[in-house]
Amino acid sequence: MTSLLELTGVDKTFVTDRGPVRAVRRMSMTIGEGEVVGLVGESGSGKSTIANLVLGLEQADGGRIRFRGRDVGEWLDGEEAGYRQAVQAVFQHPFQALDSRKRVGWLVAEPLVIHRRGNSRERAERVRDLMADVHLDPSLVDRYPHQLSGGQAQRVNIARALALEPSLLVCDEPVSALDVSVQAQILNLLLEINRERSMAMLFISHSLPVVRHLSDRIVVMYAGTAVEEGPGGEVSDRPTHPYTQLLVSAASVITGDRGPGRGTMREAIPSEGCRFVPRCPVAIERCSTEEPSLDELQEGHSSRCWLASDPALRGLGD
Amino acid sequence: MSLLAVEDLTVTYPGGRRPAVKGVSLEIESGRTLAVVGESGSGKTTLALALAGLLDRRARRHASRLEINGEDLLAAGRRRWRQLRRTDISFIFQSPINSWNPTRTMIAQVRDAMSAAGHAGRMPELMDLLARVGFEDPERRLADLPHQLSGGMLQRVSIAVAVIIEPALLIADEPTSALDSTVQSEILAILGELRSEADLAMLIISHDLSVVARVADDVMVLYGGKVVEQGARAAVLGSAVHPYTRGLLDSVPRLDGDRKILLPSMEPGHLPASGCPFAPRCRLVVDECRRVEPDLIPINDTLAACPPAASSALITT
Repeated sequence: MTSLLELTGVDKTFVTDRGPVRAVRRMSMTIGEGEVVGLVGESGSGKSTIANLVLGLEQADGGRIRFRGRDVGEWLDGEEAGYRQAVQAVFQHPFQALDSRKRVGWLVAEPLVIHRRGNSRERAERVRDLMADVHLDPSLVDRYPHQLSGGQAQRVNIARALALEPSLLVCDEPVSALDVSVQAQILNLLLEINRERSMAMLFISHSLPVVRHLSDRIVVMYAGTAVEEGPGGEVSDRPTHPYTQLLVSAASVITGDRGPGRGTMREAIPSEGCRFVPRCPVAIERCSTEEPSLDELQEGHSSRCWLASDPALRGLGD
Repeated sequence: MSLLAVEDLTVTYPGGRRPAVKGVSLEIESGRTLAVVGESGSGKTTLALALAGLLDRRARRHASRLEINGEDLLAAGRRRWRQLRRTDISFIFQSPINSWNPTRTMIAQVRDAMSAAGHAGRMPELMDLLARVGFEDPERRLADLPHQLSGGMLQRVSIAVAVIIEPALLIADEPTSALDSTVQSEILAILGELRSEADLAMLIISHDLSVVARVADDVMVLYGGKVVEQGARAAVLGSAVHPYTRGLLDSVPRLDGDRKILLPSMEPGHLPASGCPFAPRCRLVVDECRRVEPDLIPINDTLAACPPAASSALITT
């Protein structure tokens, strides 16, 4: 698979009242053409910052983000329209992303108008097709956002994102605000889109089962950097990093298992060594002083943990 | 004796085509947890508000029984309810950040809440409890404004305050929906632990069956204001028969499920004016369902309002 998007050693620090916060630290990852990569992590892990950096809404302080081999900054300076056409996004809150004074038909047509695609008759036709693609009833074309359900509004956002036929769709928690039955419909729709258009996706969520369901590859992020990465089934079925193992146990509920006990609350993240140490059940002395690198354990499956290759630790995930 | 007993509760809002809650009966004993599961529009929040005397003035409430701690509350006035909410009924809401005043420090607000409940003298105990649920140096952290604390920490404070006043009934409306999955499980574990220690009755409300099931003893599934299925936690999780409950269970991606396949999702549908509220979305629907509103009947290990499920359960067993 040729790589469509490539992040190499990306850094991003925000300055806050309480001093600088390193939201993203030396983060590297790739997305191939047509590939769905799931980025999973908790609030503050930096996963949404990654989305914003890829979309050019934030600028990295260090490292490189390349799309089709070219620097994203360069794209945005020289050929912004081309980049915006190729990389589109769907966000968490379906209504916040829609102008409440515009009708559905206008909203879906907007990207076409901005990018000067077709005349008004052609655009109307395209809006009909797009609405059909995302399974929106054509009768909704004259509705305002407040007249839609959350699921319908998210379909409008997806139709807008598809209008320019992007090659990468960035989805930042696209189903977290939705009821579970609606979640399933949106996940199904995204799967269909990926299959039929072989559109690549960066799918961001705090839920490992949701990410696992959709993704070819999973990247687990903790405290600003990738701690585990591998094929979708592999990472969730044979997690090697203690944080991924925690995510797995937090997710194993429906089977009747009462889940893990309450861990310690994560307050301070250490500034050296492995960032997960304060919550880690298996940390050794070395972990506090020396941060492990993201090492490949098997082909395509990497882990940032000194103990990841230790069979005794691996047993904990079962 | 049940701590909370409700029979045939119906709530109607002015202009509503159907009641928001219709004919709901439930009982919770001290030390037990009932999970009420339903999606937007299921009536779950209306039910919670009715049980805390917080319904909008314009809402019309009917019930043949509404008792907390043996006290008949059918005729209780707003004043009595307000008193109850200070001493007997605690509430935890979905959005931790919206539960607190953004302009005042946490400690000031916590003190107010404690003295309103007549427990001003128990601040040291509260600090101990906060330390137990994961606050290092709670005094220092509570000097902060709400936005300086994470959602998980705010929810821990809400829970600690709700529990320490020793209510008889704790109502938690989507207490973890706004939180990360690892924090969700921590919060649920804390809720479960404190609930059994304090021996209080808990009503936990959520749209996600897989989440609330973790702390529930019993589960009740609401759809269109009606109870469509109820039973012990293991029975509902393991052998639910109502097509809506089955749909809720099946539409959540599972770690041990297949990857990259379409989920068996339920099509959206409107609530009909008569008959079974789920009929327009149901795969088992027969003509009868659109005419007659089904009552709860025992099917396998649960009670379910679905005669067709009863006959298919007979066929499959």
